[in-house]
Amino acid sequence: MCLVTYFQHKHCKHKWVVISEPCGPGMGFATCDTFRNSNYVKDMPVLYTTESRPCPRCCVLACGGCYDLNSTRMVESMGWGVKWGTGPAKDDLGIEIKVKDGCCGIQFNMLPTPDTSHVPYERVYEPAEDSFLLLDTLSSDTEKEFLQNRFVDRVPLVLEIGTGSGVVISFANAHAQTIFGKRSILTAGVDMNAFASRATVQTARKAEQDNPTDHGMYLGSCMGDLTAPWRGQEIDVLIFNPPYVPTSEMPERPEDFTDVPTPDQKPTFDHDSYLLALSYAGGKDGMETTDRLIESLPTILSTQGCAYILFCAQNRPDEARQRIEALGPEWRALMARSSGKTAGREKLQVLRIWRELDNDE
Amino acid sequence: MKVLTLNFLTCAVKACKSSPASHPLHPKDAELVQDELELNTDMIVNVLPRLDWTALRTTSSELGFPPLPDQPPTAEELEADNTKLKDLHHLLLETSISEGKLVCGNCGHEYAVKEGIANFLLPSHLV
Repeated sequence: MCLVTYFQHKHCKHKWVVISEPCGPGMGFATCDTFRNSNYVKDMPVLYTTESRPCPRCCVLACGGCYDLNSTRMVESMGWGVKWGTGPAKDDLGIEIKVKDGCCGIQFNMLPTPDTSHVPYERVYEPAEDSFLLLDTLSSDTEKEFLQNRFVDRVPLVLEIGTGSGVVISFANAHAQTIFGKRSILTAGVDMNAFASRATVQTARKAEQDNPTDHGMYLGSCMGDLTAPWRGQEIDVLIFNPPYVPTSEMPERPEDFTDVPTPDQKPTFDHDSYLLALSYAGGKDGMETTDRLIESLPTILSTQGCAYILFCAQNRPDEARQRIEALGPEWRALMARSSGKTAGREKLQVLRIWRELDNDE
Repeated sequence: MKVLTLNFLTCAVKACKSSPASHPLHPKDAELVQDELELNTDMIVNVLPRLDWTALRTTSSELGFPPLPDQPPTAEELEADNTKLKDLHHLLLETSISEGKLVCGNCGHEYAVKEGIANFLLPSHLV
């Protein structure tokens, strides 16, 4: 099996993938069987940003010619799933192969991402690398195994805080059978943003319709601050993609802002900016909101409950882990997934947090 | 939001959390919608042990459903009695609150429900 590395150019932002370690002489995209097997599933790739390596697409566009397709391919879109690019000339099939219905090339995951085409992105956070990392975490073999063993005898309540578009909770719900090994799971979402809550209801419904034989039971969404309206010790799986970007201050609520605007109230630019700021602005170290959640974990999680929280490098996730492990001798925090190294550190990572039970190995 | 959700919710005001009167929240002027859903026996049988049955009885009667028994039915009873199973499925999962209010029995705060979404954000003086 050939190993590949993904690059993104710092300036043109084009992405491409090269064979970094061929599995044999002359092996590559055209010759290695790995890339022909449509069932081949690979982890979410790490993307390296580069300035010194020339972008193959820009080179071809500027100087003509073509690059070696056995060793290099452009990546057209990345996130949840990757498809091969179409090359410098779209109708030039001789240059690159466009993947259609996953029939040739690599599929990076078999579970489809929920449709979020209805979400108003001018005021709701658009799914991005962090959202996809959470999807990747939940559908990874290790987490599936953990979750399935953890909730053998219980109908778990899965709650996502700050759902935004709803892509993550709808994914967890729609693929309950695959992730939890059963359809008897309950899911729900909370967000401070009324538009995000409405969007999540739609995303979850659509994803249930698209996965009629696998989905769990989506209870609904509500608006609230973190887990405020939820009873203690009820939440079994908590998912949080927090506002993690370090900012000098937390978002300030415009004076004329109403939490639930009526249909005739058109949101102003200030209102939209406030709503988007809520989704990313994390205050000091980007941790002001996440720290509040971590403090509440012992009261809100059920005995076998666990939490998946996303961190960026500036959040000092190692220190957060220590704070979590200081909650008590039974508390554990483990990096379940990461993506994108910068200066040797993971750019983004998801921590799985849980209590070690007496009957755990 | 599905009726089952009420079993997991309480008043968002911190001071109410310790008061038994804050659970369950009481529906007021509630409009209900029904969705026909496929029955998942495993779900109903296994969700019951984690529910606060007394709270569910309160919710059920406040929403105008026929009274529930004092004790939750056992798994054997449910598997033997399809009507019981379907009634619970209907109440817990097929019925949703689309509009109305949820009222805390301790502080009296009313949380509005619009388009099926309850708003638990508190005005600044209650935070």
